[in-house]
Amino acid sequence: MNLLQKFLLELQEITLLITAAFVGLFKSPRYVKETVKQMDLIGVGSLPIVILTGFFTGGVLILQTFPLLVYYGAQGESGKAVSTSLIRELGPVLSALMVSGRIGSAISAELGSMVVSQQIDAMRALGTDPYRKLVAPRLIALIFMLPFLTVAADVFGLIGGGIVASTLFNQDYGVFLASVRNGITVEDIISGVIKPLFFGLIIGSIACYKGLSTTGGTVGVGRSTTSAVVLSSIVVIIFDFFLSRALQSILDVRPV
Amino acid sequence: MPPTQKNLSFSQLRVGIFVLASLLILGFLILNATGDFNPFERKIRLKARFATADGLREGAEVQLAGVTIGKVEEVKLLPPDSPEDARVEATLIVEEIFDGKPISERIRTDSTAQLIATSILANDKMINITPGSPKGQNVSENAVLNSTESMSINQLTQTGNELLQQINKMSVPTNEILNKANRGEGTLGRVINDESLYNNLDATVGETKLTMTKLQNTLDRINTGEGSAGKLLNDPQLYDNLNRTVAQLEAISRDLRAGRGTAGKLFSDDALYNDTRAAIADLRVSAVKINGIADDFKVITNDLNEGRGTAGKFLKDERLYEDARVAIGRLNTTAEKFEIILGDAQGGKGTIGKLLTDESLYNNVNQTASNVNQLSSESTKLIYDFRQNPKKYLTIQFKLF
Repeated sequence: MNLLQKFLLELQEITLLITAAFVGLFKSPRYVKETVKQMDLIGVGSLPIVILTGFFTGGVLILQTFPLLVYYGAQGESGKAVSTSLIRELGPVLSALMVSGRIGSAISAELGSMVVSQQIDAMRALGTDPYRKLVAPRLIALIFMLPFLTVAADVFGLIGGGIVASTLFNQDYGVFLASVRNGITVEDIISGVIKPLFFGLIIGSIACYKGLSTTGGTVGVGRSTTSAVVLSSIVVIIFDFFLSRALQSILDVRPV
Repeated sequence: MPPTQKNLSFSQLRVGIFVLASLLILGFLILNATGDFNPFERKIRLKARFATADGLREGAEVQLAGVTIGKVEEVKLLPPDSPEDARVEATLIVEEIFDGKPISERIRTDSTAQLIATSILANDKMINITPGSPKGQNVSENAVLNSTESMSINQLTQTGNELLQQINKMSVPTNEILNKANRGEGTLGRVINDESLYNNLDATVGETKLTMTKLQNTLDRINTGEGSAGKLLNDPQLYDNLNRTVAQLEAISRDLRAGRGTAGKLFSDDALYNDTRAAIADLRVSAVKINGIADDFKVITNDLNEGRGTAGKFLKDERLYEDARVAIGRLNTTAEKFEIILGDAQGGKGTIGKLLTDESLYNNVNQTASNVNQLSSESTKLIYDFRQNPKKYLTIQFKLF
């Protein structure tokens, strides 16, 4: 099995997994309770790390760009600088990366150990579809929760930026807020919320596939966890580029 | 669950191949739709030469009349023996088909490539190609366009510097003039410092105001119809009179035409004309008669010329002339003699001369006259005395011893 075949096989399996999970949603049994539980685990559980990441990312953005803005005499536009970069790009990508690190690894480890301990086989033997029971709730939860996590990261990033601007650079809150309002457009916010939907799908499907395709005992679980996190992070970043360009074109966002 | 065979055929990977292909096509479409990537576009290369690249880099924009149509592919130095205004050659790569039409319809051989600045602050340059006119030919691959360079910020600052120096030079005399003016010297100083000009102006303005008021009053009065001008403007009487006169003139001319009255008859009655004609005929008869008289005169003159008759002889006979000449000659000699006599007399020669020049005769005569005067007075006295006392003279004394 050469590398191209392996790649094509993985792509095929991931596509089939996503299809199976979503087709399963149209038939009962639907595992709503399991979905809500995953939402709580993925969404609320990831909130602290996403908030922290956003907060300090916003802070460091101001920290780095403020002196440059002072150089051009545009320190009044500091909020604009933070809000455009954070809401358009850094919020969605950073929260996706944090979630893939925290949730992607958890999913693939959980499913991998279930495969290794043959619980999946047992499930199948009992007539339960593991795609519906295990994959679909996790995918739905990720797709639903990642936009909210992104919004949290954006908001706390702006708060962190404002705090850094006011405490370290003595900029008035009002000036900062005004320039934030001035900087964001509806298109920015919409594209910042659309992107996490795709990222959630990517993270969930890769993590689930990697977990379910685990072979080789406990060592295999570790390997699949690692590859799930690495692959999902890379794919998220690659997709982000094309998605951004497409959204810019569709929503007519100024590339400035 | 994934197949566990060691070897897979591609037929088992159809979904994978399909998904990969669709993902690739999607990515290509995204980039193509946004205009970032278009491998099917045909390009054409053009060249432009400049004296200096002046900040033009590879990848800089190429515009046609401000619309981006391509980019700079290469900027290279030309060999050292190239002319001074073509030291650098830029290769421009532009779309061959733009907006559905070949770009060579727009870029002609008479288009020029301008090196222009993208902004005031940066030294980055781009190339703007001016659209060609229909007079030019289509450009071909690797055609060298005419080029102009726009003014760079460096040149601008240099010019500004020179200008500043000139202004500096000028400011010294200006300062002096202003100082003088401040001190009240010269015309300008007076204008600035002396109040009399202002006062005069003020007074003039005041007078003008007064004049304007008066003018206004006059105009008002004229408007209300006062005075001759007012009447001229407002009273319709003059107009009426004129109108009437014109009407009368019209009537007169109508009468004239109709032949009424003397003037009318003059114009229209034939009698006067006839009379005049008769008079002229009479005149002609008279003229004939006068002609006859003139003929008679001619005859007489001829006779005279020929010396016939008394008058003819008088005119023609030379004897009379000769006699007259002799007589005049004599008269002449007489006059000469007389002249000599007179000259002698003037010179005091002869009796007459003495009579004219010697005063003694006059004195004598005078003396005599006075003596006679005296005598006469004496005689008067004597006669008077005689009358008074006749006895004195009429006494005859007889004495005898």
